[in-house]
Amino acid sequence: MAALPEALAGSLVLASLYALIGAGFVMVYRSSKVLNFAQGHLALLGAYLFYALSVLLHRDFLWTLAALGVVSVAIGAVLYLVFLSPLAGEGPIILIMITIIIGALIVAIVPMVWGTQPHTLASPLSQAGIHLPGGIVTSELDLVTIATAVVVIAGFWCLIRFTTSGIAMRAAAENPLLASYRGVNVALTAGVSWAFAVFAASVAGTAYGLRATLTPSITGLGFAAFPAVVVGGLDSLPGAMVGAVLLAVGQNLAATYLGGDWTDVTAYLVLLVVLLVRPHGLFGRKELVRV
Amino acid sequence: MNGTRSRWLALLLAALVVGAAACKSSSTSTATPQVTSTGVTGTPSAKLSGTITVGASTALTGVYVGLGQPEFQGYQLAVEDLNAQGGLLGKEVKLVSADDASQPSAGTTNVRHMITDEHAVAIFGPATSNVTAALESLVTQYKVPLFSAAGTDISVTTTNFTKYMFEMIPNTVMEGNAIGAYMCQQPYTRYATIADDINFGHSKVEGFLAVLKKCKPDLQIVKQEWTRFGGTNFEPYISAVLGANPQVVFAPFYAGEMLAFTKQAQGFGLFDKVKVVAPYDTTPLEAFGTPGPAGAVDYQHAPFYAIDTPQIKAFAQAYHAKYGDWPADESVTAYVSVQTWAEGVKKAGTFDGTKVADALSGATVPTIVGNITLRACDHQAELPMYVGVLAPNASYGFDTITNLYVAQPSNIMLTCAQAQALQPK
Amino acid sequence: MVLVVVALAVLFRASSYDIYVANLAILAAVAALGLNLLTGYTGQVSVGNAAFLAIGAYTAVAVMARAGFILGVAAAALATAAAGFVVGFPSLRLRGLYLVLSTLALQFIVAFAFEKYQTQSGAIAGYTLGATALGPMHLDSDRAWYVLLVVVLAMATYVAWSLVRSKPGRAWIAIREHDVEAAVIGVDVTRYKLLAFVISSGFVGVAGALAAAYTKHVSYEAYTLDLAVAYVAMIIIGGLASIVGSIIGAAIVTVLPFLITNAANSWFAGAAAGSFVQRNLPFINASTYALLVLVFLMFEPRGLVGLPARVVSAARRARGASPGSAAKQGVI
Repeated sequence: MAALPEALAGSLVLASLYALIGAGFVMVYRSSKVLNFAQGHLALLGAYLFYALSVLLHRDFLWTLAALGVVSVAIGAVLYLVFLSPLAGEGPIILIMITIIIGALIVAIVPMVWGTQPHTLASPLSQAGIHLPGGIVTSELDLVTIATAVVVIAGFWCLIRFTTSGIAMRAAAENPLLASYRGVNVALTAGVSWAFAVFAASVAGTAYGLRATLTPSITGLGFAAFPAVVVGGLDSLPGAMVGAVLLAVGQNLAATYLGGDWTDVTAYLVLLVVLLVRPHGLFGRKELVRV
Repeated sequence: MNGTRSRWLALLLAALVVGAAACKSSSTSTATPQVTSTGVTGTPSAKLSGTITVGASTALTGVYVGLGQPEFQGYQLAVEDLNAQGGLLGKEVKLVSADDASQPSAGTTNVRHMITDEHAVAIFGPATSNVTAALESLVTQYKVPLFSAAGTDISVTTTNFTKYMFEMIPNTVMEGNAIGAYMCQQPYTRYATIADDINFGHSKVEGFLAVLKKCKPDLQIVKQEWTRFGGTNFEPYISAVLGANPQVVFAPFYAGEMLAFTKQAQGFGLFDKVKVVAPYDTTPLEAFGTPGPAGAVDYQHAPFYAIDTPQIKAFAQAYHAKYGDWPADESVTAYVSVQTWAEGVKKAGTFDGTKVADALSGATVPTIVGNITLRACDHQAELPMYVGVLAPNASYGFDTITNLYVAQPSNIMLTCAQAQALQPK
Repeated sequence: MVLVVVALAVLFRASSYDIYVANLAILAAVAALGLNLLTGYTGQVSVGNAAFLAIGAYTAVAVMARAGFILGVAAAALATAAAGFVVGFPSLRLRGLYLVLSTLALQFIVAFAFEKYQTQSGAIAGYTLGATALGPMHLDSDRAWYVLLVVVLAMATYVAWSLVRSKPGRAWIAIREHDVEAAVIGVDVTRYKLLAFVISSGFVGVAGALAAAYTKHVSYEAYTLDLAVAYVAMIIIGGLASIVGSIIGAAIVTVLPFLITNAANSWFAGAAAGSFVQRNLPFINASTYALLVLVFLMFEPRGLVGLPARVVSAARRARGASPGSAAKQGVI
């Protein structure tokens, strides 16, 4: 990790995972002002679902991905309907607790269904190093991961930007009561954003699982990505992407100069500084206090 | 009242999901044949009068479940076999278990409960040394013997030593000496290391390099990388290590980290370019199947296929029949731990903790890995380390050690003087 | 009064292990009281409690061996109160979820600092504390500790109760309801927010120090985010802004896992080794626990202290209810 371009290239895969997880945070936060503590657990669940579907579909990679998309969107919608919509209107602390319980249920259920011993995911994408000029080493899997993250997040952004449901989503979060008077289906927009959040988490979990192995304890991705979202701004999708890149590069630099053990704590130190200096992040909108 | 109804519905659904998860896997688990692994014909258990309880507390959830689960299954099988052979002192042995999730506080709560409420007369476990150390002071307080089948840190037998503890697996010093002695015989001089940036990772690397420095005056350490503990992105570190052009890469990883490292290292062709030296347990090798990390130098505590006794073959078959996996090293040491305790009880003629501990101190006991001696000065079981090169093995479907070198305990243990110098006065 | 009877009954009837569990619940109650002052009364949500418990415990480790038990607990209270003062500053700027995030950062940073400290000083397995002496008395049994802890909890309850009944309590509630308006009506928001942080973390620190001395073992692995979340669960389940609720919540959240484990152990005692139930007992316990907490959150989001009143009003409604009034209830 000597040269900067090399460090940057090495950080992009990690940044993609953070950005996907972060996009899920942003979608949920925008539509319902809920801080989803279960995002990392949902990534774990997504990776295991990929494993199960892959076995079911005889390891056909593309079909498995498509099926994962459908299943994860459905799970997101169901989670919202079952756990969050009955409690709409409760304080933020109750809603955070509910997401924590969702996470706790996932880490209890996953080992019951798939066991505690590690699994490996099958993929046609090679992890063999491709050497690019400038000493950059990458691989098919890395390139596909980065491309997928960009496409998924760009898709979300277009959805919010150019469709009525995106505008509804913003309205629903700002003032649910007013939005519902104007004919916005608050529950529907929140449900849709949960569906997309779980979808993004599943993609991230699968990308993670493809380069590591599946064990029921890999839930740390969610808390690792929190700082990225805060740096970018809790309600900004482009912010989540920029925050993800900054976080990943910062962590790689910390690993090089301070040691690998410093990566997480560096991220949270940055988070604390950003909160104190600019709580709404680089791209987020400032929250107004109404008297 | 609509709100309440939807909340009930929500709860019902959540409970159904959990229930369905439970049902799905219970239906897929196969019926387990009752096999006595050591093949000794037992006396019928009808003669037994009463039960005696022992406890197993280990990591059944969390990062180290990959060590704790196979370890626990070893205890379980050993206790079943013990009962099938007629129990102990006319009593049936009952095993109670609890999960510590590698947390010292959970471990002490479990063991306290086992001793004070369940009246456990011996404790087996845990999976990690941090918990072992916390349990050592607790079992001393209650005068109950503790058999450590997986926690390997040298502090277990030195700075935290107590006469109630028996270390049933080669410790970290023995590991470093064994793999060091093996690599001293190899022609390589350019070394790189990659390990977790925590105490454990540093001590493994230092122990290994200290041995090499003694035998190789021309040793070059070309690169040292320290990774984030619990992380899974090793690519930047692997690329940095390869850039320094070493002949050997030493990578003391475990459990999930070991799998992630190997997968990414395969992507870089690390196993073709350099000699990788790493502690591959059976569990990760089994998860890989083939192609695994063939060509790497592996050093292990108790690989079942490399130990040459008839009993361990029977044990491995019974374990595989029961659990569907082959035994991990910790499964073997766990089985040996229960056997050792049983021998201690027979020698002492009682379940009393102090008498059993005294009877075992310095004793030699028969086990499935042969006769082993529990050294009196630090209660370290005199067990060898197994080192060799990994190669595909068609009969198991995963890579196993070939060109086996067995590092004998007398050559790799601390001397009694060294160990006692570190023990509390 | 009821609590006194319960306390005495436990002392004379329960087994040593039951008293151990009761002691853990009392320790949790002391910390939950502190947290409820901050979150329930002042409205500042924090997931940094595990960090304060850790600061209390590590201070106790450093001081108790040299200066004794009492000074150790006092030092822990001071150290955590000081830490609470520092952590309180971001709360002057940050609201709601942003404050949650800053306390999340505190959790990770403090856990890391203690991990580094512990591994650098070679204490891979943590620190072991000696036996505790309180003047001439030796706290060498669970029962002796139980007596001490009941007294501590009574004192903590009294302090918390007097605080919320007096000026600070009223100021805290005003800040919780609307901090800008509170300032307008003359509440010194800065002062009382910081006071809430200082007192709350002091309570938590005392609990951390006492727990260290009682369990005789301190290691960084114990102070996880899960632990911090458990404390938040305690005050929600018991009832936010309720003294009694803090104690009830602490008792439920602490004892529930033990009850579940015991029930599962006797329920599944006959399960064959290697069978599904036997292999997955920890996960069955964990999911049962999660489901039960979910029940509390979904049906009593205002906490159990509100339950008697709700039962009474529901009974009244059932007696004199006409179909029309029931329909009206549904709309509201």
